[in-house]
Amino acid sequence: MGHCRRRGSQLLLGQECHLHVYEQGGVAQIAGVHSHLLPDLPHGTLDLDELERVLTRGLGNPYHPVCELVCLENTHSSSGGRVLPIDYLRQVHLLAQSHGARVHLDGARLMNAAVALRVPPARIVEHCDSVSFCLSKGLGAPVGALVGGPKDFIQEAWRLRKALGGGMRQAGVLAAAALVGLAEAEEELPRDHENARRFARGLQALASPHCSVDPAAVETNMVLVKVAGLPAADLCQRLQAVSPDEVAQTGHAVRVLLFPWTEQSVRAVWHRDVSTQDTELALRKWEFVLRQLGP
Amino acid sequence: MLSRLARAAALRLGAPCARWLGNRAGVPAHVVDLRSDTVTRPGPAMRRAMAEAVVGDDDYGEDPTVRELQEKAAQLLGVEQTLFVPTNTMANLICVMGHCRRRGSQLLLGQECHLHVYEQGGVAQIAGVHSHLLPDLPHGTLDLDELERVLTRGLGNPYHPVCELVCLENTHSSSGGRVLPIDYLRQVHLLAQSHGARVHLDGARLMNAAVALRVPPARIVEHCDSVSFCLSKGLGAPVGALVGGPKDFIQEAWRLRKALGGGMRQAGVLAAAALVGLAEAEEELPRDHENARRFARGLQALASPHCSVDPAAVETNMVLVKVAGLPAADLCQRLQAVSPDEVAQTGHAVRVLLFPWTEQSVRAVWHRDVSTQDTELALRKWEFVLRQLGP
Repeated sequence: MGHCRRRGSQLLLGQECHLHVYEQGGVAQIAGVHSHLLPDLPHGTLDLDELERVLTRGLGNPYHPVCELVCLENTHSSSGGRVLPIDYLRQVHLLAQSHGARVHLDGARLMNAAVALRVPPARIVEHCDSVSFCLSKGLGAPVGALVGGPKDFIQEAWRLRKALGGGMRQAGVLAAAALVGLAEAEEELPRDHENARRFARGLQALASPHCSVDPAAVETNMVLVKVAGLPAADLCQRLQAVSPDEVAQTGHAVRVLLFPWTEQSVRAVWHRDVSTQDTELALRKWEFVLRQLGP
Repeated sequence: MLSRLARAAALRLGAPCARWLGNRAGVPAHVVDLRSDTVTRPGPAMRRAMAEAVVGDDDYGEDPTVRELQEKAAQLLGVEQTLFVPTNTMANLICVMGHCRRRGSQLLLGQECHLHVYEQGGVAQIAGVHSHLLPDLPHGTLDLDELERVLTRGLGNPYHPVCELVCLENTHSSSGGRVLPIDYLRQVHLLAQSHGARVHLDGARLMNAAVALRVPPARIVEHCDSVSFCLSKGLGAPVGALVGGPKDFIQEAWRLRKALGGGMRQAGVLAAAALVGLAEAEEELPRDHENARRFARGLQALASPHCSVDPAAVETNMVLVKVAGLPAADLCQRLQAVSPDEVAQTGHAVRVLLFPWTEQSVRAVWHRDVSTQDTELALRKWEFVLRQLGP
């Protein structure tokens, strides 16, 4: 809403990005902004030639909406928590700027990207005109997120927050939790990434025909597992069920809670409430379930 | 809830209000904050409840404390379900969006009501709903004949927007916290229903109304099709409000809350505080009302030419004071300043914080963080300031 202020504004974004899929079409429903989708490349990036083509098409032509904003997402959740390369961010920013558009970064999991790249978040954000930053995910706070940008942008953001009904009162009770989360991030997030990697390698080593994973694609705290031979939802059901058989074979009763991601994949997300030991137990549960499924 | 004047006054006073809690000219001051009941801070019981709250991801429906609050509130309000949201502004917006679903919807409301004046025109800006204003009567009510006239005009005529919703506000803040009579609510509801419209109650301060009438809130809400209910004002919680209504309405409200970005995660930390506030309401709110009345009577007894108040109009926790002979903002400035003179004459240094309400009035709001003793100190400060102003 802050970037797209005129009538006939257009937003360019990846077709599987969170903002497009999971935010209730708010940009249209609430803000009256037109979306144009671009295909996502496997690494969570957009094709720069295609981006340029769309930015230039209809520039100055009154039949077309005006491209005001490009939205990027980092880490990119639907590709499995991939980290956008800083050089890519720089190129997108240049491209957008040269055609009169701005870049917004959906940085819900920005800290995961920064930790993975071993850079301060500011090194990532410098290539964007605004950023959103979630406090309630890996950072662990119960509620809250931040909008970041230039001073006048944030001044307008205050008004927009008020209009949407987000202006809270003694919100320090929430900010206090967020401060703790930020202080602990540098220690907690690398651990989540390591656990995710450990799990992915362990799963790959099981060499099951039903599940495949690419450990090289595990860049942060997410693992996308391809599922074959049964619906993803069935696998999730089995992973969260417990039985005397499981206790007999593994010595444990473990419920692994997961969402199916598509019909043929599940997404597993690591966070501070999942320890290294929990990761090990989850892996053994997968092993048990896969063994039950047979060859 | 800042009026344009209040904002200007705050800026002129030169510092964020929090910094007033310090020494000025070396005089340690006691602060009595009558700006609004939104300033209430969580006390020890509330903080403990927040710290110990059992939480889960409310987006997945897994926060037991939020669920407990929503269920208890549903019973209290006499509705099928409630939904926890960050603010009453969002609660109101959700209700307008939930009732006004077609293109060309129209909303009828009083021209000085909070929803119209202080919510950023969200019903138009965000929801695309057309507003038609009705004049407010002194008691915070709308003229029923005028309401009927507007509801019937253009009924079925394709030139006119469709009146989908009537919004009432109880207590009515711009008339000074007035309580809408239950019989009036019944009549508005009948009128609306007979013309195909619904009634939404902006119940930001509904508990104050219920306490003043000595009825359960449900007796008020039964004449409405939805209600918004603030937890962060007189009830004292740091954050939060509720939408209340029928089950399918609340189901849609969930989607609207999500679209507006109000779906929170481990929100039980906030719901826990709200539960404490609700439990303490029956004890706290009558005290606020009594303090407001006491202040109004005391102010009237001073018989100053600069200030007048009608104690009979003080029905809940607000007092509207008419100001003459100086701008309201100047009076506020004097009330929050301290000086050696004041200490010499009254034995105290008291900063009374107030917003100008109009050019010629100020609004004082009582809440749990203003005690009977604070009220007495505030009155003495007013007396001192009025005496300084002379005849």
